[in-house]
Amino acid sequence: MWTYIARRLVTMVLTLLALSVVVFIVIQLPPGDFVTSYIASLSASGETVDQEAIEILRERYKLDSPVMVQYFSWLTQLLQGNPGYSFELQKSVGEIFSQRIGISLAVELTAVVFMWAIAVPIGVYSAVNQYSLGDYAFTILGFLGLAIPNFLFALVLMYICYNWFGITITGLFSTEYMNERWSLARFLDFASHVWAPILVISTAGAAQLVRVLRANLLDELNKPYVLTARAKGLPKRRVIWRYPVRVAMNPLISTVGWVLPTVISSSFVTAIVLNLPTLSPILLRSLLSQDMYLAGALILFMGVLTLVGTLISDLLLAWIDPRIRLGMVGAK
Amino acid sequence: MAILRDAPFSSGAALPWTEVTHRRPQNQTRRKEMKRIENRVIPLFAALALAAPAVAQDYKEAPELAELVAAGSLPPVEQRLPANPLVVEPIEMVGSYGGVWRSALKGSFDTGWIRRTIGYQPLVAFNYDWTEVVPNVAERFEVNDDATEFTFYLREGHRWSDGEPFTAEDLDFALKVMTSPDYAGRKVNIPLGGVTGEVVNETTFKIKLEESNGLFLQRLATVEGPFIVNAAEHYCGELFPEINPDANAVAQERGFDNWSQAMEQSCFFNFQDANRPLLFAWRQVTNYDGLNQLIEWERNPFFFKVDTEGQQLPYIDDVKMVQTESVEDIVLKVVNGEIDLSNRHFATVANKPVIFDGQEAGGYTLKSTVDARMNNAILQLNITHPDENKRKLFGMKEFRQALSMGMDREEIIDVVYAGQGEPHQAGPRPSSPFYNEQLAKQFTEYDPDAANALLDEIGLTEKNSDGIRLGFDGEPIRIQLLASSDQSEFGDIAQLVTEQWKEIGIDLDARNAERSLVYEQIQNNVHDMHVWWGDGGMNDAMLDPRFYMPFNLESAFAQAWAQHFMGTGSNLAEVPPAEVQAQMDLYNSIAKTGDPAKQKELFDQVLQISADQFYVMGTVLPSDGYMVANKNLGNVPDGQIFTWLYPQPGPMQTSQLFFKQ
Repeated sequence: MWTYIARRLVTMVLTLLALSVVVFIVIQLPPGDFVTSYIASLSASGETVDQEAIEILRERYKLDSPVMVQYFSWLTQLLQGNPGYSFELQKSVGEIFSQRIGISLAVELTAVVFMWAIAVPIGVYSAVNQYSLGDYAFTILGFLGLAIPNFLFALVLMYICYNWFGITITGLFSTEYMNERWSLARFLDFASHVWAPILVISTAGAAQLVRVLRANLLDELNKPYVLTARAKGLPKRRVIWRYPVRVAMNPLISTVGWVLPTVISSSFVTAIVLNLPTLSPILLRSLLSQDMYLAGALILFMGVLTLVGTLISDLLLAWIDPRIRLGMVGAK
Repeated sequence: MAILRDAPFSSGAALPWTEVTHRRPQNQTRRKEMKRIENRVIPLFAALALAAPAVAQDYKEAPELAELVAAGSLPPVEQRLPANPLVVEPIEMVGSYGGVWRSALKGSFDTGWIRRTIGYQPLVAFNYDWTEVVPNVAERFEVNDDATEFTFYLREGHRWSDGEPFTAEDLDFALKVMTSPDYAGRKVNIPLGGVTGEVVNETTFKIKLEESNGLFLQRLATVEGPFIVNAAEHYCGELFPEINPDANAVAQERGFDNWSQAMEQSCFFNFQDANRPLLFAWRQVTNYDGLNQLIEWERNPFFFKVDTEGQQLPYIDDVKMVQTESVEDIVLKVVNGEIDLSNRHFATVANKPVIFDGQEAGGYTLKSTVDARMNNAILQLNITHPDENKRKLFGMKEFRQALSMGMDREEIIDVVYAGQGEPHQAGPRPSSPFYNEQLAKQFTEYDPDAANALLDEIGLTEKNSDGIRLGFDGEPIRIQLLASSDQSEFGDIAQLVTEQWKEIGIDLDARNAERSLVYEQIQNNVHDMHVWWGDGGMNDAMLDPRFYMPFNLESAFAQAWAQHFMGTGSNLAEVPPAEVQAQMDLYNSIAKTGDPAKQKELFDQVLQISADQFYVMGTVLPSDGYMVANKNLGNVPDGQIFTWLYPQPGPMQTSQLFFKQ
């Protein structure tokens, strides 16, 4: 088991290295560089930049040197624990990161937990009571959740809250708490705002989970071992939660790995529409303005999250499914 | 005084007010904020008391400041104000103290709004009507006859927001940094070559130019101008190697890469550093660094303006700007009454119905603004295209004329602009002193028959099976237009024009593209056509004639010639034909005269050549814009001009805004 994990860790480092190359190439792909987009954004506000300033900026950010040179200087810095400097925010990437990561994790992980908390019981209910009124109701809701884009849902929610209750639900804090330190009052204010993004982010994902779980569970429910257990007198509830649900959860758990990177990426549009102070708007902004070290660091971080998530999935699967655990012993 | 100037900052970060204000302590009340002010000024108080001149005038101040004075932690108002403060004539009435002015910023680059509202305290300013340049920070100024020497007389006893004296040395310092060859930051849009400063005495400063520049004062009054009064030597001097050899180390300590970046970010254009002393009506409390979501400002107790009853301005206690990422969020804040005065980002034709309907519920009213832009969209064919066939085609005036007549501007007005506006080419607005009817109105009639005839006449008679005319190279004429996707109106217009031009056998390939791609193309001069709105419709036509002649990088119709005019030494630069060169010579001679009448005469000639050349195709003259204002807000101007160089609402004196009780 431990050798397995160690081996996985080594592959992860190599994968990351390969990923860093891909990331850097992808960031370099769009035409122009940070300076071009900087000029474009200045021009949108009515300003003009003179040629000399452009040259100076390019030189300052070493945008004139070949891509390979830029990559290696980035990599060396990364390995020394310095993720680089954000052109746009004029700050070290590390600082930006540390300021936003906490709130990002808080919002997104709550959303993920909420998503699972509603999806699993609904999925089980739908499968067990197939074609019942409740099943149809949840199915319709689920497909609605899948079909409505997150941003639209966010906009509709904003409209409803404004129109019916006269409140704006954007942001995570009221203005009076924005620049304050954490306190009970600030936390309550946070709680009174955070429900909206959580609702928006979790609905779409939940619908998907419900469908997967329902389909898998339906397969399992008719298998002989369930019948046997029932025939031997185990109560229905206990049978279902103990055996078929565990098996049906398998595909869900193996995708836990993909949930982690969504901490940054899933709520892009939602975060922008709802004006959340998380990492997502910063990632989008950095991609648009070609702020390459910031974008690179964030994408790479998402890569790390995916790898870590996959590892967690595998370990969870091994824990929940004995067949996989045995296979792992064999892999030793 | 020399001791005072050096003392507080040589001891560095040990002083309480030099700590970074990212996160403010919890439950911070107004009183605590005042405590900060106290901390800042206590060290000065003793010295001020000795140095203060005897004052006859009876000045009044905000109650919160009066409390501090009574407690002995702030010098009395007479000593905080300069000997001769600027007296602001109220727009509507004399106001009273209190309240918070709330508005919104979009993203982390939106310094434009700060510079227009709070930051417009230049040395010399535009008056409200945008008709002349008047003293502001400078008490008065003199210009010599050939516009080479400008003398500015500062106010005696004028102080920075931290209480330090503001003198001619500060102006000299800013100018030295800007003209330093080692300064690699963004520079102002003012020609700085051959500019030198001279400190005559503490309150007198002279700027000398090698060549005459009759537009220099106006440039100082534009939104770019305040650079010279934004950098306090006692604070920013630490970042300048000529003053402090360890400047780079100090810059890095403050979280920047090097000194010139720190200077650019915290002393000139941006507002990343809340600690820097300012001359504004409000001083910054939180850094505008893209991470803080709320940018706060508090009253500057040393602000140099009073109203006609001797009350020190500003009336409003605090300014709060929320940083948001989306315009929809701003619209929502507006209709929900969370914006007290703004027209930034949301005030479009499309949003007007929603914002108009929300007035009663949101507790605000709409005030009109006069748009100084002369066009909603200007189509610029690349006359200096690197492809020879395209250059030949795009360079023909008749071709551009035919395309212009092939555009149905009424349809654009009805579909895109809700029926508001009128057909207009790229020429100064009718209300501008530079109005030229030929330039504004020629070829705006929709006449596809005439356009077709004209195209036949210049030899484009062959067509392919789709009815598209063949160009001089025998290929169908296909013009690619990349419209910036964040300006959705451009995309809508382009779609209409695509259909209209099919009638005259021209294939417009219009696509939405990310703006940096658009600019990448322009910079490399490989674009066929560019679309942008028309700045320079009023008095700014002369300061920024980008669409009337190849002037700067925004003159996308003739980038190569513009590069020549700017003298950048870029390898794209090309010597233009004689008539274009004539325009450039005329423009250069405008700068050489200080006489406004002569300037206008010369500029009219520039415009006439532009009318004859017909470089670019305009579409629609924008109708008036609007601004939302809290219905209790007093002294809000109605019908103010709205443009970039004249930074509306700045010149109305935002410090006189107040909340009616």
